[in-house]
Amino acid sequence: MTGVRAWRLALGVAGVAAVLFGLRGLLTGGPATDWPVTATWLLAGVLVHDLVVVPVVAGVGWLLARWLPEGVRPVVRGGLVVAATVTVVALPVLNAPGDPRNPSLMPLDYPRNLAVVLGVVGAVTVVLAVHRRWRAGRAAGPRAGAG
Amino acid sequence: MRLRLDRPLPAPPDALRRGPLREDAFSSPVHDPTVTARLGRWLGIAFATCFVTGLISHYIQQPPSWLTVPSRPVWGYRVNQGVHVATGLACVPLLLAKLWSVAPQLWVWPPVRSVLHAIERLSILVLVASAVFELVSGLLNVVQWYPWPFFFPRTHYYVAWVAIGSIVLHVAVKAPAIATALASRPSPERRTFLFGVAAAVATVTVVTVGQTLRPLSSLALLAPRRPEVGPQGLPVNRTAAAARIDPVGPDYRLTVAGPRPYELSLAELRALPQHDAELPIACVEGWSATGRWRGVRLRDLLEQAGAPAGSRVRVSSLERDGLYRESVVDAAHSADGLTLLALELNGAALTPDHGSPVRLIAPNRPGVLQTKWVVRVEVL
Repeated sequence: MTGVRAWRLALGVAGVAAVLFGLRGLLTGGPATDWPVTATWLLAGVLVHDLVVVPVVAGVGWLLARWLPEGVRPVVRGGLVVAATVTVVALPVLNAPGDPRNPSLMPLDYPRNLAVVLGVVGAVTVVLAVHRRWRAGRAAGPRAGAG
Repeated sequence: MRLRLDRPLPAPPDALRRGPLREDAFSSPVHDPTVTARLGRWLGIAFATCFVTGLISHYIQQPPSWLTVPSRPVWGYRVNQGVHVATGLACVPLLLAKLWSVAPQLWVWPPVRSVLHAIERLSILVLVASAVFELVSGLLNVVQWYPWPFFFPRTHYYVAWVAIGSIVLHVAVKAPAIATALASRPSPERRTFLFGVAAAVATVTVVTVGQTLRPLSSLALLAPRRPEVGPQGLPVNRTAAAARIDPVGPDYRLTVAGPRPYELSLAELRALPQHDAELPIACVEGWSATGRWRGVRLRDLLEQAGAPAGSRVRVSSLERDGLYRESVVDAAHSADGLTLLALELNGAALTPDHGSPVRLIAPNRPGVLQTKWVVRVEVL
């Protein structure tokens, strides 16, 4: 067995051991880890990702490929990555019940703040996309004239 | 006879290959190993950071007998937990982008090539489920939203072992593919995608990290806390109302139980030598804020009770129930001159939400162990 193979095998064994330690803790934790509920949440996360997130991203990607000129597609894709993930991170502060007795918990106007952040992300994306088109146009321009 | 786990299994009939299972049902330029390997490298580093800081926090809160937690640096727990939560938030764009870069694997044909392939897909299921669980449960915990019956810290802790274990296993399985993919440079379009993910990480960080990094506080547009917002200019985790604490009357006494036990009224406590300490409240939920505290040194109280320097003590609250109604102060913290039973915060007497009449405040200690509404100090 070569050194690299031994190293990979050791890593794999360590990984499996950690997984088993975690699973044992979940299964023997009683109500503190409530394994049927935890298992449901674990599976629900995968299902939401595979059945909601992936189709939505694929749909947006399809529209992107259909409607946008090829040159600006990468920039718009990047802008959408930023906007989408910031929105996901904001979901808890937008939806959590909070505690009326504790005004220091989630003290801000989050819908407004998210709109501000998305506005900035959108503006930066448009500027970068226009800049790309302009640069591409300038690069193509003289060549067309010379022909 | 050797068991051949990689022997091909019979493929399902092609008639089943419909919808997203069609060949090239959806292609994207970012579905590429050069992208996956780079995102995987960042994500691996981020998850490892989360795991280590999470483990440190776990052991500080529940120290095993072999571990003595130092009381310095003063900002230790603050940085640890700030990094833990900030890195966890940064994982959201990284994980989503990483999973998208390998999305075609979801509808790969045939779904199962061999027993070995089935085991690998099962291990990926465990990896994705545990990674998503850690991020979702962490995101909900920082806004104190618990739509589940289990105890968050313990479940988050054990699922973390499952997540880090399946990541380590995944790296071991994929090592050759990772090495190949990292050796070749992504195309310009793919580099733009990676740049977009980096911009997403930067944006998520900038709009949240001000909850612990005071200079960036005004940019923390989406953080659940602001370090300067709260009674007396400091956030509160558990309010007096939530803890069902009534204001104390003139019959309040602080009991110090040791070799020479005694009781102190509030007036007697105020008459003792007062000391100042500038210390952060650093919450497990990732926010932190510095306060100027004033009160009696714990070690002075213990000395008066005839307890040897560096005694372990239990500090109890007026709270009748609740997980954090008492906490243990170990040797390093009880001997530290910065550990106070504080009566004042930022120049005024403590308000009920900050633990009036007296609260514990010690350096390098999680906020949940800075016991409020203290009524008893007991030498162990």
